Amino acid sequence: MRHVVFRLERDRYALPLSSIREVVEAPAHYTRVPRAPVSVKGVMNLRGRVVPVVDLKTLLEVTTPAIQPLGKVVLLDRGRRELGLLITDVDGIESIEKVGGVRSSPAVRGLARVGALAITVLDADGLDSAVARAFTTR
Amino acid sequence: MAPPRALEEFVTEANEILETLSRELFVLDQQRGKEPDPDRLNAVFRGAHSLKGLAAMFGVDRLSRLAHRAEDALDALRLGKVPLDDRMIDTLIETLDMLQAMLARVSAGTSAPDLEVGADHLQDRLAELAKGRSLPAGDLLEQVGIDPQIRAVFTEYEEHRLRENVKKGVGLWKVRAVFGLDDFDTKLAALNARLKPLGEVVSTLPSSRPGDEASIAFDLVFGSGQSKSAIEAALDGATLSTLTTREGPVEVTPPPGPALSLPPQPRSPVPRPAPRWDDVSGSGLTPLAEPTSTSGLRLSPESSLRSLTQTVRVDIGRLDALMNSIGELLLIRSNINRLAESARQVGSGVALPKLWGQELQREARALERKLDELQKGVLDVRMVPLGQVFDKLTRLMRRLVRESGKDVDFAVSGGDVELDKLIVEELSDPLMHLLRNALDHGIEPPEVRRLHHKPSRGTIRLKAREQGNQVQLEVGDDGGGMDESRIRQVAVERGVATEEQTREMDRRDLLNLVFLPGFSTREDVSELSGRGVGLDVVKTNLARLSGLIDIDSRRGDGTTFTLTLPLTLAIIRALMVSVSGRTYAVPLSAVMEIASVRHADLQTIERREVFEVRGQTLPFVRLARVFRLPEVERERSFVVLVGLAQQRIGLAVDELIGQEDIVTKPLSGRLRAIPGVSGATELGDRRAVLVLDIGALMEELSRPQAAAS
Repeated sequence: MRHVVFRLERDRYALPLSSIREVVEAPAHYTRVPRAPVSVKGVMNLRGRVVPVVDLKTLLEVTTPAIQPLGKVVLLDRGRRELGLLITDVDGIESIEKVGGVRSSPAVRGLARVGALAITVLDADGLDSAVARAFTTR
Repeated sequence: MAPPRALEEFVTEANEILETLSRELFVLDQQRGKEPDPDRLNAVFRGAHSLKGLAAMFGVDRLSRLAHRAEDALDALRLGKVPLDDRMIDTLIETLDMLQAMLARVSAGTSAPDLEVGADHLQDRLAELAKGRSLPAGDLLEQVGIDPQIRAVFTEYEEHRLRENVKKGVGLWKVRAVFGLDDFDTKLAALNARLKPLGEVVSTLPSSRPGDEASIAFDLVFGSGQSKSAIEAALDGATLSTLTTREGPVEVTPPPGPALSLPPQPRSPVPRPAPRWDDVSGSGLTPLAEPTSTSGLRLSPESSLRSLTQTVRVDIGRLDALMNSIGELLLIRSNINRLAESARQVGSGVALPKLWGQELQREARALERKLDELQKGVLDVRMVPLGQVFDKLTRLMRRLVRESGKDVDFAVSGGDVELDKLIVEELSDPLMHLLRNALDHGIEPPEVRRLHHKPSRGTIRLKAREQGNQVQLEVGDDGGGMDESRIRQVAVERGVATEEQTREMDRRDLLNLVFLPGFSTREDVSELSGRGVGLDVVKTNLARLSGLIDIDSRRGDGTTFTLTLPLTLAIIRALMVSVSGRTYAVPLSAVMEIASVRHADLQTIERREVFEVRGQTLPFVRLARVFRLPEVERERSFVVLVGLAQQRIGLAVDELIGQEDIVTKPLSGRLRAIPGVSGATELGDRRAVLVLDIGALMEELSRPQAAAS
């Protein structure tokens, strides 16, 4: 299956190509949503649509220090429930078949290897429910 | 079966016919026992006829067959061959329900085997109903001496109507009217309108003595109990003569029994198996004691009343207005093109003439005006009358009332108030909920009502009225009302509020507890004379439409729910405010006034900040604090007073930016769960600005526990 491989700080992650609608430049500023969970960066105006953007780092509890600006937003294709994920940059599209290792959280399917690189393969549904959880345990 | 696109057309049109049918049938139903208006019977007949043809044309045979049977029965009815009795009305209404259920299946593209039995049964019943008595031959019309030449041109229906008039013993007249060829249609219609209140125009015939070349003459056969001079006063130029050989009201030998209710006379030539409905069981049919139970149609009352189609029927006049606006916009575009061209020719480095700037400004203003018009036009197109939903609710209530065994009047008004199609659709379910509650729990059984010296017949009201850019809907009943002490008790039991809190609440706050989720379940509430069956759901649904719901109830006098809704969701006027450097939009419909308050003047009551406006003490709510934004220390704040009814609060903000027309968009995904925000909008600089949900905010802030957090 083809995956979009992207970077979050130094680490590499992948999401199935079929679960992604598009990748856009991160906006200069977001409209903060009061009382939203900390992982929600805010909403952005994407060609007239209002899309919530989630800071993937906070969501996945990645604690590596920020070295690069988070410059891109990956838009998950969730029908009418659009969701944007804030990432550093996109590497490219790779075919990933074998996913091994442990599921450390519902949002993570496991680890895969492309060439010399280890890639964390994410699960779109899992991400969505992680966001949902963030809202309920606020 | 027809291709989807054509099918869609069919569903839209059939739906329209069914709606008309249901409206007319409802009136007939209300006037049970009275003699039906022949025009109304005719309209119902025509509706069934068109539906039959339409369904046949689109190959929806099942529907067409049933409509055909209904048409037959209605034909017999309008010709007076069969009486309009309860059995007939009930069967017709059931048929209508069945046709609607069938149409819903057609629209969903599913087959309807489960409806077959019911439909067959209805067809049989309709066929049975259509078998009327044949009319006694050689009759009244001869007795009164009507010119056989005139009689020869009457249709069966017209003859029937004439006969009815003779039976009533009213005068039969011939009105001869001559009109010019260019406007005879309007003049004739006007004459008909003037005659209608005085009696019945049985037939309009082209006169046997034609007028001159530039005019046309009509003979109107008119039955009326009025005196000759009274009729002549309405004629305006037409001449009046008696139709019969005798002058004045005709005297006839009494007709054979009351016209519409007796079994046929023995001399009737055609024998019929079941002249009276009491005898139906003897003719091989099952007795139809309980009409609803036999049709096999199980329309759950919980099923949604939403329309089958997303289509909006638009008055062509509104589209013309849009077209006009667009035409004028095109004109402005060419003007601007011309200005751009002349600017280009002037060349760079050269100042443009002053006139050019003025002209551009004028065009810009015109553009703005026209765009406003266009926007208004598009909004107009989205507007539909509430009557569409009211009709459906009326039909449903009719059935529910019949099933409940209670004696209830259902009074509807304000069906002509128009609302955005989207809102009207979303409203049907919450309204149904409230009406059901009023019937199930509000209205007491007749014996209880008599005990309390109330009329045994209860009343449920559904009322709509326009108020500025809002619509107010009222669902009220004159039932038992709510028991405050019981609400208090249940609220405490359910942990919705503490006993102490409920003691401090005023009536209004107490009543509003029923909207809280978890307040009650059906079992608990029915003993509370009650309400509360999913009222929290009703409230949530309304909030999604930026609507507010309020309740008033008096023990013994009944309960009234008031729903306040914006006219349209698409574009609203909003006040833009800023708090801690962030911009929010407050729907102007919720804003009552704006004040400036010095923080030094603030007081604290029970750990809550309050301020005074013209002697009234109101909660001072710092929006920054509610939204947990960094607060800026300042000497005075602007306070936006928002609220509805008696309840109001002051929202403290840093700055007022101004008013704007905004297009609200719902927040997608999970953010919908954020309380206090109803959507977002885009401003000129392409930033997204959040729109406050005042209803939800007020709700949250008026809840006692909010003060603590």
